[in-house]
Amino acid sequence: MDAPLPYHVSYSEHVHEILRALGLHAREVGLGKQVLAAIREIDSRLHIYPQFGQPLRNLSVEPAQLWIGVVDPLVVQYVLDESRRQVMVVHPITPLPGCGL
Amino acid sequence: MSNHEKKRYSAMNTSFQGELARLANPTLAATISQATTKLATSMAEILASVSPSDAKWLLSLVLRTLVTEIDTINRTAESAVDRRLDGGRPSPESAGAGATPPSSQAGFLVKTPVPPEVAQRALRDFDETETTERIRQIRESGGLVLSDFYEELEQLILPSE
Repeated sequence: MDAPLPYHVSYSEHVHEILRALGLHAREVGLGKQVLAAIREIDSRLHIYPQFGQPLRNLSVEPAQLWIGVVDPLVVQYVLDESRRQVMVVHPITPLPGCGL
Repeated sequence: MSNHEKKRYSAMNTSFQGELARLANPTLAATISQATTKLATSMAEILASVSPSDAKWLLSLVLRTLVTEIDTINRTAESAVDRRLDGGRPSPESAGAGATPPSSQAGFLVKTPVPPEVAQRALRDFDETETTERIRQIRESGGLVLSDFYEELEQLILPSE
């Protein structure tokens, strides 16, 4: 059976900058590998199955929903536009509370 | 789900529960029964949340993953038996050659719960105007994909490797 089209996943420049800072901090506390692995896993899930998180709310202007998901040790918020099969990560990816980051 | 499918799944469940009843250890049978019920419920939730075509593909992926995992378990068990029969010499499979790696795609089916306080905070801090503006920027510029900056992140986080 053919796999369905993957979702298109985009990140904002703001998220990129936050990830740099988060990565540096992760390195300092010895969680660099875990953070890198979580970033890869988040991206992979968003491409294949963005419904892995939980919906938070509908956006009133855009035909899309705000979702939140956890891939230990990170929390990601993302906008899912199901009609365009598009995922946009526009909010900072943050550490999961209590994970040591 | 059609009536035919319901009957078929019901028959499968009855058969599975019958097999469990034959286990000598009732505690183990109860544990397996609870675990499989929980798994089936999770699967049903996932399948209900996606389109029918995606659901078919997911089911197909789950079946392929199961077959791969069972095959891996069987190979491991066979290797253990071979080692015992060979007086402890490791077989090529146990050394890694020819072993089937576990599926790397199965992980996405695992849902890690979002702590309620984290979800509440996200809702409280949500700014629709800001979010809409960032979406607009991504739609105009195309945004970034992970491969645009992953290597840079990797060098930043793991500079010595």
